[in-house]
Amino acid sequence: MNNLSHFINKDNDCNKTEHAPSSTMKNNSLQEKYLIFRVKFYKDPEAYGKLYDVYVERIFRFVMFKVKKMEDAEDITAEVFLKSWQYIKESDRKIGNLNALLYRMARNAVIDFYREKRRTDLSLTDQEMFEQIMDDRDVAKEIEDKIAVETVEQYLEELKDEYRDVLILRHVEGFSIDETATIMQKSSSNIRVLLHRATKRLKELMNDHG
Amino acid sequence: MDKMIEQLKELKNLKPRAEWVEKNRDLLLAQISAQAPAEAKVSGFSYLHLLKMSLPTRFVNFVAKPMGIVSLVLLFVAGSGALTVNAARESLPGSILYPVKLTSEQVAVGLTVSEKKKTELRVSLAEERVREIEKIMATAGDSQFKQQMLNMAADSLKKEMTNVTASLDKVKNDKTDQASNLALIKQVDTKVGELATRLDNSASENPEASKILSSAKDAVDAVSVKAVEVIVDKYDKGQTEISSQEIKDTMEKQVKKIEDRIANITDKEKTVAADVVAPIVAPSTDNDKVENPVVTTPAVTPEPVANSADIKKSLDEAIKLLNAGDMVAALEKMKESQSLSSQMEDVLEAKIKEIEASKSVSDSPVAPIQ
Repeated sequence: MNNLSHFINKDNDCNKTEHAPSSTMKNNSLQEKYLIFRVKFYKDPEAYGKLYDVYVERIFRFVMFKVKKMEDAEDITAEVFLKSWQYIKESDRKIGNLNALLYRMARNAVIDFYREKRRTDLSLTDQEMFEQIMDDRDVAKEIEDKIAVETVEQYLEELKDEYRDVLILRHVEGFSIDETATIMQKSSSNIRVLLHRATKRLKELMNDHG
Repeated sequence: MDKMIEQLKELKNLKPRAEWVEKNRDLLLAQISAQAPAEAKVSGFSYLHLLKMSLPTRFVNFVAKPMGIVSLVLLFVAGSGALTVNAARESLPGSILYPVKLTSEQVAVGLTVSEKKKTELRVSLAEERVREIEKIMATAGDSQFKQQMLNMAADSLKKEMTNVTASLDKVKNDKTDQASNLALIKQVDTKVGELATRLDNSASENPEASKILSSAKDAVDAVSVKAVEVIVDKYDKGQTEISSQEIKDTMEKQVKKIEDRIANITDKEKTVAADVVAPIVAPSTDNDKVENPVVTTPAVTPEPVANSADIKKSLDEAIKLLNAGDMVAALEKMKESQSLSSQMEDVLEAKIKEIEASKSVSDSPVAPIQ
């Protein structure tokens, strides 16, 4: 398993690509709605490419915090964008908020990923089981390394899923309470309570280890 | 706490590999391009969808949707009402939808603000009543039911005529836009004249109908006279540009109508007189042979208040006054003749009724005289 801190602050030149995300395009803006319209009715791949540029980083990050392994995060992110294209193209429902749609797709993809992983783990042969145990020993070692680094993301892993999601969406991605509520399909007051509890729990974890 | 938030914010620096982003983009676009159809189907509905997408969700949920629902409900209510009214348009007296038709007509009159438009509308409603009468006359079937239908239509026509008279009174007192007022009165006079002719035609088809329609005809004639009265009044007060010749023509036309009516009444009178003169013989029995026929005489009929000669005299005076240029006095004489002819007709109708009543008595079986 890759340590998240391995990627952080690493100058991976993502923003220097020729399809750099247009920072000028806000999520849920009129421009974004027009691109969704192009995708839905003109099946325009270029329009979808622009939407991909805007969202790929944050969706990858969101997935990465949940699956930890970069290759898995990349596969899941690619799957999310492909499924979203199909959903926008075929669904009769209004796409009011692409941001929320992509995060929901990402959450579901991660759930599917773990479900599939559990099923695969149960069907391991003795030889595979042995290899897995050896892997797990490596994982344990890596976690120990992470604790040594003492950065906040290692404690995120110990939080409940929804605590981690609310902290990432609110503080990492910088979404407003309302936007976070839309993405997590909860009420704004519910998000405020969750955020308060998540922050408190994260603080407790950091103090315990500190 | 702030440090923790700061650390969380720093996590934003976690980014995917640039080469993966690029490669995945190319792969994604290749995949979706393969799925995209050659020709996109775009319709007006698509742009409606774009508009819906562009509107804020809260606006759509709290303003646009409720407004849409209210509009739909209103459309449904108004639409269903409109459909019923439309269906009722062709209904005849006695049908379930006929009251709907009358109500919708009254609503239309009530919603009309201008008195002139109201008058025009009322005349067209009277035309509709006459059309109904013609339709009823054209239908075959139970004569009693037909009579009831005719009675209803005739009553409605009388009401409309009363309303037109009231409207004409209002127009008479209206001193604005005299030219259009005069045009309206002339129009009413012409249309009412047509209605009177159509009623006469309908009445001539059936004696029973004639009785029912006679009072409606009186009402129509009264409106015609009222129209002439308003024209003369406006002329007398100098409120119109109408020439004396035009007034004279209008009044002569009216006099002609009354003369025709008198002629009709006289014809009817003759027929009735012939019936009265002929002895009404009760059917005899075997024991009571032809030698002793039972002769019955009709009951005493009301004395006529005027005869055709009196009315003609009155009409002649009206024409004389007209020629002398005294329009007002001529009008009075004409009204007098009109009223007398109506009374004469009433008396005649009563006489006919009596004769028919005595006929029906004589037709019934009579016990032999011992």
